[in-house]
Amino acid sequence: MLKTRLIPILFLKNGLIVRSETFSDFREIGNPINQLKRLSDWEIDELIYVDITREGGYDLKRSDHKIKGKKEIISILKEIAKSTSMPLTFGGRIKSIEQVDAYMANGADKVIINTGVYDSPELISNVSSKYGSQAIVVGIDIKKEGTLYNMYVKNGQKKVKDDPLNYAKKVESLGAGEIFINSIDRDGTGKGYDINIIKKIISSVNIPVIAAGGAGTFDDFIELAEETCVSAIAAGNIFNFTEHAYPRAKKELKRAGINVR
Amino acid sequence: MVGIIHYNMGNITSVINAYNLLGINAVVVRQPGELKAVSHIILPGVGAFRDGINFLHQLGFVTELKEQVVKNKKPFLGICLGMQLMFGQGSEGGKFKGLGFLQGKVTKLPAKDVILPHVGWNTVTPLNQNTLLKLEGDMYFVHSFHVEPKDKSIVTATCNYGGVFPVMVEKDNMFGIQCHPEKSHKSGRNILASFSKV
Repeated sequence: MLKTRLIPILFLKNGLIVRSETFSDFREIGNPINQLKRLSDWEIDELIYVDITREGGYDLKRSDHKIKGKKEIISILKEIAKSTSMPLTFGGRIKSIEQVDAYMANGADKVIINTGVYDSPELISNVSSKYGSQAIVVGIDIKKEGTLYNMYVKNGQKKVKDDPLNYAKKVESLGAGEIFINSIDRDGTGKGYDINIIKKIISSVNIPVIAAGGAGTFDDFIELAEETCVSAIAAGNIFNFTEHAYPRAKKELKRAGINVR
Repeated sequence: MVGIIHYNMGNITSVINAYNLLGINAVVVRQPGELKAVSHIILPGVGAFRDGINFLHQLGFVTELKEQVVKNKKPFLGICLGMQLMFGQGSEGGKFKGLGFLQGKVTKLPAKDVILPHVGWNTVTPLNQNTLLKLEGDMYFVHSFHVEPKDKSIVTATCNYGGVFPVMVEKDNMFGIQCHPEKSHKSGRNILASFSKV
């Protein structure tokens, strides 16, 4: 039987791993290669790296930073791919098929694209026709405001009018292999996953859904797996701050009768 | 020396990296002529059957592969798309002729009550007549199509996802694996190590 995946997400900013909270507060917490050894020893199901280095701002050396940032993430990917044998998903700031080519050529199995496919939906079919639909994961960032679920792009900076459910259906029809949903208002808060919207997204598409945003305890993983048919449980901070979080989480999930590896 | 065929269908890096970790000699093969110099041949790959076979033809690999694998009986391992290409006919994006090393066809997973692609970790069940490579346990999968060999006796391991399908085929010097040993941590690397010793 196919297992429910448990996926650590590492957020990279200027080449360093950061802790993220509601997409706005970032604290540097480590070097991406050091973290990797642990994750690899635990034989994790899959690893997601998201580059959240922001473009823009007032830094006069902006273009230098941009180039450096891009180079860094490819060299990080190379290093990771060399020392592990596991599924690797890379995302963040991808806008062109050339960037996808660079990730895929250096050891990524899949890419996550959010704003890039929102702005240019044809990027989905470009990637899927070149690498297969399994290679393209479309990211959707959602923020609950009042009773409404709104969709945001540009690292949670720009609200758009699209309904998340319709958008999910649209990207599926364009050839997305998986959908990655993240909750902006729950990110880094430890309040638990937004079961309600995750359920709705899952039932509106026929492709695997990876859910992130809000895990504070292992019980949140169990709740997500019990309440929804999610294909993969993803989380960031909990794996960085809790001792032996990954193997312990797997044990707890197994004990609760969830079908994990 | 294991030769890994580069034909624009991805995944080469992961297989090379896995062999480097194992400390086993492996090289990327970009020219059909280079197949003569290697002792073992791997055809990896993810993506569409049509593109895969077209690239193999364009790059001139088809004739040399037949020479080395069918005639000279060099050990050959097809991974994922590479396994599918070993068969006579594919149906991803139309009907296409494969390498035809094995008789049978490639079709979409029946996937009753499950979603496609089949992505993630699933349990591989070895069959009785299994197997030189000892493929079993949880392995990483990512695919929507599967092989249907004419001769069922070549199937040496299966998996269940909305129906049972072949995960491994073996015939003489030829092996095909639907899952990704290069992405399945240590147990996957063990498969690659075993192949290099066949």
